[in-house]
Amino acid sequence: MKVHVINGPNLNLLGTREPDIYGHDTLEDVANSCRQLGENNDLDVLFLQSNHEGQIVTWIQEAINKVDAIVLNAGAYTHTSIAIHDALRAYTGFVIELHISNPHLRESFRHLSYVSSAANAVIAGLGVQGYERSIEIIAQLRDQTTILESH
Amino acid sequence: MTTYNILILNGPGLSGSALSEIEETCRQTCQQLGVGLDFRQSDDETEITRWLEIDAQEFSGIIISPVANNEAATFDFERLQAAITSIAHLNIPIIEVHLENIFLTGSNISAPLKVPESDAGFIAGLGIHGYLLAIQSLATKINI
Repeated sequence: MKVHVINGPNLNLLGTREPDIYGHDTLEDVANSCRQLGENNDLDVLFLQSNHEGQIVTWIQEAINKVDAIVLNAGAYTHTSIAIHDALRAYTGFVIELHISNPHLRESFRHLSYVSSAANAVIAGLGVQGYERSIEIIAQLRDQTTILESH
Repeated sequence: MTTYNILILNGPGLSGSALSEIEETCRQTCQQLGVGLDFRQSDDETEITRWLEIDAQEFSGIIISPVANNEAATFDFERLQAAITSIAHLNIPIIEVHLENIFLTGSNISAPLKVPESDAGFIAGLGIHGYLLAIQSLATKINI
C-alpha cells in the first residue's frame, strides 16, 4: 500500500523557521521517521516537499489510482489554492490534511482552508508528531476496515 | 509518582452504544499509557460548561468532543467557547475531536473552537481513532 506525504511551501525550512511554532525537528528528521514507520507497518511511504503550487497539483494528479492515501501539509497554499482543492477532488484515495500548528488559533487569514472540504480528515496542532501519527492511523485504517476506499 | 489524569468531555448527541465503545477503547489506551481517565457525557450544555469551569484544573489534559452533527444546529457554541476562554489561563493542553470531518458539505458545525493562550490540537474525520490519537498526543505533551 502506497502513501504519499506531500509538503508545501516553507516546510523545507522546518527546524529553523520560527521553532517556537514549528519545533526543532527538520523535515529530513520527519521524513526519516515516516519512512521508518512505513517500513514497520508495511506501507510504502514517499515523502515530498515543494515550494511550488503547480508541483503539488501535479503530485496529487499523479497519485490518482496509484496511491492509496495522501497526507497533505499544503502550508500557506492551504488558505489560497483552489487548484489544490480541485486536484484533491479528482483524487479518490484517503486524504489527511495535516498542520503542525493549529491554523484556527493563528491569524485570521489562516482560518479558511481550501483543503479541508476536499479531505477525509484533518489533524492540526499536534506538532511534527502529527506526521508519524498520520502514518500509523493509515496503517490502522487499512488493517481494520474499508474506510480507505471511501472518499 | 505523580498521576496524570485526562478529562474527556462529550457533548449533546454523543451517546449510546457507539459512545460506550469509544469509552472502552479510550480506557484501554489510557491504561496502556498509565494515564487516569475521567470520561463524561452530557446533553446539557450547562453541565459541560460547569465541568470545564470547575473541574478542568484537576486535569493534565482535556479532550472535547463538543457535539454530534445532528445536534449541532441548536448547540450553543458561544457558551462553550466562553467556558474554554475562561480556563485558558490554566494552560492545560486541549484537543478538540470530531468523529466526522466538520468541513464537508452537510456539516452543521461551522468552525473549530478557539483556545487562546493555550496549546490546542484539532482532529476531525478519523472516527474513534481521533480520540485515541488525542490521548496519545496529550500523553506526549504532558511527558508521560
